[in-house]
Amino acid sequence: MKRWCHAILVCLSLLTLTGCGDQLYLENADIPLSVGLDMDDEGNIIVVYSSPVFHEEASKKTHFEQSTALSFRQNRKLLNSQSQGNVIAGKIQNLIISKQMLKRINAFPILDVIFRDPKSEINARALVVDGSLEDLQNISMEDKGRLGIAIRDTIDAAHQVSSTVLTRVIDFRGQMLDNRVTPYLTEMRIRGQDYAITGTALLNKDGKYATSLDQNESSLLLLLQHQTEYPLQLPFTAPLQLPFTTPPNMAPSDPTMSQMNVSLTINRYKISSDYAQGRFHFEFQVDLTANLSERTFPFDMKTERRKLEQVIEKQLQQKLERLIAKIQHHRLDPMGLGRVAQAYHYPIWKQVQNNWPETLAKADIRVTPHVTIKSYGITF
Amino acid sequence: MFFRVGKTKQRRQKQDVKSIETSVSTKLAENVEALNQRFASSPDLIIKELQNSSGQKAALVYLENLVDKTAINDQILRPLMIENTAFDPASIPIHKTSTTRAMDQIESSIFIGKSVLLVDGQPWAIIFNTQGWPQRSIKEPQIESTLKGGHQGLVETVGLNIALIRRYLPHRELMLTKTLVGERSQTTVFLLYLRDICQPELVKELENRIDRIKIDALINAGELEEYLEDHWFTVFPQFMQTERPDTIVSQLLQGRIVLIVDNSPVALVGPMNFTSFFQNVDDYSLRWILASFLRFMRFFAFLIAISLPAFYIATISFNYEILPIDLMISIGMSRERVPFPPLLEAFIMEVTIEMIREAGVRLPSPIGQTIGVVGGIVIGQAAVQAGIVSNVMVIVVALTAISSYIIPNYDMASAIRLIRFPLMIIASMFGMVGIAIGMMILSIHIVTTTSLGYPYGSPIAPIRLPDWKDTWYRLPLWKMDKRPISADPRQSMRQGHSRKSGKN
Amino acid sequence: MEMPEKGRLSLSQFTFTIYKTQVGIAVLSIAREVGQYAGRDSWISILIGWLITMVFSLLIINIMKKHPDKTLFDILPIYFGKWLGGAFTLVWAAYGLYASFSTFYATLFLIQVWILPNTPTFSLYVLFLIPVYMLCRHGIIAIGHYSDFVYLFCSWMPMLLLFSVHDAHWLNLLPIAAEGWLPIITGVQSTLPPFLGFEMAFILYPYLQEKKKATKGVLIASTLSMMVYLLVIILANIIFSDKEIQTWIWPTLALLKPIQFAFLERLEILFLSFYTIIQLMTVIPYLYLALRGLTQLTRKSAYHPLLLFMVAAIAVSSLFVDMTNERIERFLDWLSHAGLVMAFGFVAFLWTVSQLRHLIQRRRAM
Repeated sequence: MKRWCHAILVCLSLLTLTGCGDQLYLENADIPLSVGLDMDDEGNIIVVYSSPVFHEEASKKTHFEQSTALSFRQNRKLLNSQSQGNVIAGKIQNLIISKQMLKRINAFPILDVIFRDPKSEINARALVVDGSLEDLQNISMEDKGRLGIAIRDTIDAAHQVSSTVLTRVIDFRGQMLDNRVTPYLTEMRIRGQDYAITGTALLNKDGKYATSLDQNESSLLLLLQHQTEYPLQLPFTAPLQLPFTTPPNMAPSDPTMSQMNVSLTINRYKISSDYAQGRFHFEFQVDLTANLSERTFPFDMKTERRKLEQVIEKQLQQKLERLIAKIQHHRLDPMGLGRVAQAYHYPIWKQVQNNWPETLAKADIRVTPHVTIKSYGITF
Repeated sequence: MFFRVGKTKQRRQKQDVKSIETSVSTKLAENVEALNQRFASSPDLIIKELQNSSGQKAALVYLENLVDKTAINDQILRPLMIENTAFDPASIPIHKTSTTRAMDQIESSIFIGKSVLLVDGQPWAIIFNTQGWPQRSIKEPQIESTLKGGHQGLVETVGLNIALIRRYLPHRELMLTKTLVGERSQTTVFLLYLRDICQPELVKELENRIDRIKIDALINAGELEEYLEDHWFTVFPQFMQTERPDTIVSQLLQGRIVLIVDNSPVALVGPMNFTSFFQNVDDYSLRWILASFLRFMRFFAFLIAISLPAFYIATISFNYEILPIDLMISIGMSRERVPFPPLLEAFIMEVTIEMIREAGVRLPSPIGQTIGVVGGIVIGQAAVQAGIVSNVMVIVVALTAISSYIIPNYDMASAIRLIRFPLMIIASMFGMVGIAIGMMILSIHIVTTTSLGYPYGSPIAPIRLPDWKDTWYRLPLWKMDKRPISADPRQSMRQGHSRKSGKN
Repeated sequence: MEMPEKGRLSLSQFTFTIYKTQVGIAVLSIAREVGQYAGRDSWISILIGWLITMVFSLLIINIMKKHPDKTLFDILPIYFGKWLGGAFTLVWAAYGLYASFSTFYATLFLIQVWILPNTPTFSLYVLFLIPVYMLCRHGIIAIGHYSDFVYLFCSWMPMLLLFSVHDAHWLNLLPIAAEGWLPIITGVQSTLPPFLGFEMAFILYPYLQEKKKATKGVLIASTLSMMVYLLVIILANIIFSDKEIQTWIWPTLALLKPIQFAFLERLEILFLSFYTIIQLMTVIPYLYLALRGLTQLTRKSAYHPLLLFMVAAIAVSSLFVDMTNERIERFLDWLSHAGLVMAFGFVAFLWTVSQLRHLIQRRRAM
């Protein structure tokens, strides 16, 4: 009897379970892969998105929608009424913010819905685009597949060869909320039917666009950030004073004849810091291992390797210091030196934390790289 | 009306019972008459009248098709009729004889194939064990075939089955208790256990449960299981049904009890736990690393078999976020043409594959294979092309089906096949949360189930670490010095510390 | 309809039942809750909280040692007489009920926020109550066995968090105790409620097979919980900045959200779905505790009807009580206070009483 009661109870309770208010079949959903944010002249927000088309009979694989409203979420409501399915933000692969908009306002508050909605994807790559978002749908996708995935893959590939940083939306949030660092985003350029990653866009503490770094500068930034996932690819120029071994009539003055490319991995990375005479002193001590991947001039690697290493060290130091100067000039800190300041000079940090980029601009930052060439491929 | 008929029948039976309590009379004719009455409608009853040289009369009574006719002819009739031996049990060359005075024992002996010699002027009868009935030769078990284990399976004769087991275990501690179950069938049930390993309380408990059974006839061992088990509201087998003597012996050695039922080629083993259904005799003759891999695979297959369709339904109707984008797009493309909701789609395919399987089981094996090919490939392919189900669904269903066949025990595999349907329904209502709660309900069910009072979830819950050596993986046999504690053996050591030989 | 209470608990069941009662919904928000006082030094607070918990667990074992075959509810009348003991029993039962109800509500609320926002509350409640009912029906031994299972099958969950170590900034943990020790000590009080559940030893002790190992059991349980909390806090602190932790309501889920595998993404959905099992394993022991107390006051056979009534009460309450974020916060807040009073305050009190009683008895014997 007791068992019967139990069984009946379970069955009855199962019968009441009819709620499926959250059911949404995959094929009925409209899943944006790329979302672009722009601003029109009145200050309204333009949202552009592209989503994959599942339907076999449709000739295009990707479809675009655009709407203008005061906020992101209001836009989604508008977009819902335009698209076939229910727009869901769970699979956004990249969030494209227009440079024009970033120059005018801080885009971070607009992104609120992405973080507030538990369903939305926070792994999306955040990037700044130079160009009009309207051009997004003009990009020729014949040899690329789907736009959202193609852009994501391009960013990841560019990051692997250290041409740009990789900032996900959640990283961007962290950078905006953390006063020890300033945000850095991937920068992309749309020209006509094509797009390309150009480097890194640096934002200041207010979330506005400050400056851009080209691909080589991005590599150097990754070095300063101690980003060690992939080796850093950097070009160097051989100066004239290097002892070239073979025929001097092959004039090394020819710029194409004095190139070398090196991929660097960080062996040891140390920031020593100090506070003296009212300003911070930072010194990056970086030991790098180099793999020579290209050298267009003749050179005796066996005997003169150290000289080549010295050339690389010197040029690297110059380039890094130039980059640091640029960053200081724009009152930025994408390296996150604020973390060092907070960790080791807390009492001073507490006084300066609210205008840290200003403080850093006055700081004395040095870099001493030490390079060892580990291998130079299979030819001398 | 029917009720009354039933009642009169009962009364008649009671009268019969009274009349049976008679003993053998000294007059042969009376006895023969009595037997003729008792076997009134048994034309196969043979009463062979005999007379020896001294003029003493006797009658040999037996049922024609239940006796070994050679034995009757050579060992009984020849001495009595030609060599004129005395009507005396000692002088008849039959391996087992006994005498009785009770008429009802004579009757029951005749029914089980013995022959009875009634001698005129004697108040007792001699019973000869001359049973010999049609029986099957020993064959390889059908559903429990192995690669390397023995190829002998149990048959329908209990004596032969015990012989098969005794060949593995010629030891005096192997106890056999005989009970009769079934008012009409009087089926012999043997309780086998090793006295120095098995817990006596367990034996007593099982004997009590058998005694409580009041049924008409016991036809198969599977029926016995339903009368003995602890829980009726479960899909999981609480006893293991096996046809393999080697499995039986290895279970006996772990302290379990084996029930052998006459007329049934299947033995029941209990108390069982959940994980022992994932073991197989072949595991012990394979290299231990390979056997461990197989064990892992079976548990993995178990998870797939119960949850993959549910997982598919949950991901494409609730939690598509958990799929990587490329996978999601390809699933989306294949789902686009399907007009049904995922649950219905999954049900169509799962039920189809179950039907194909069931159709194949009952058919002769050459046709069965054809059904498998036709059903599996043709229907699957055609259904996809017709846009009734998606490609991915076919893969899911095929994977689930294959996974469920990896489970070595037939009953457990069937149980697992059934579990996935409720999980699919709950997944279609609540998505991933539904699966989690469904799994929780399932696991609570397993943990709170008992088999003969022993926890079914052992050695996982309650955790019994020593038993893990032979659960998730199989360690080399010389590492398993102790018997598994899941069945609570009295004698824990299985073997001495036998290190590998050849390592001097 | 009597409680099937045959059998005994092994050390692992004793330990894991306590551990599973402790670890629950607090894991998801502990980094923020302790962080709001102690900041980057939260890990020190949790260590101090752990030490305090261990002391109180030892007090419980010390009390129970004197009455090896009795549960808390058997001891209370012995110490305080029929009426006062009964009153205390009622208070404990009310505490158990409150703990189980509020944890249940919080669990459901979390599921509704993260995964199923549009599903009717009632049907979700019924769904979640099925396992609660099934397990509670079988009594403490079954709960112990099931804790074993949950421990084995949910041990991958903390491991999953390790995949979030991607852009870790260990410098976030420095400087240690920069603001002095006051914030750390203030943080300790918010680390104690997550350790609640060790009071389950009051009920489990008489069923333990080897009583000598009880001390070991409670210490291991608290240590396991501490390790989980420590892992979560340290991970949250090295991945998020101070400020960012405070912006997430459930920082632990935010840690899981970005993890991606080649075949699986958005692990927080999977995690949270299966985490409900762990959360319900907090609800179930507390419900059992409450029912044990109530049956002590009435009679043993009342267990099953009471259980049915409680389960029905929770289900029906979903129709009347509308859960909001603040209400859940307030519920859990009250629970923390109640827990501090019951599990820490009352235990200290009971221990003192038992010591005094012991002393008096010994003097009389002399």
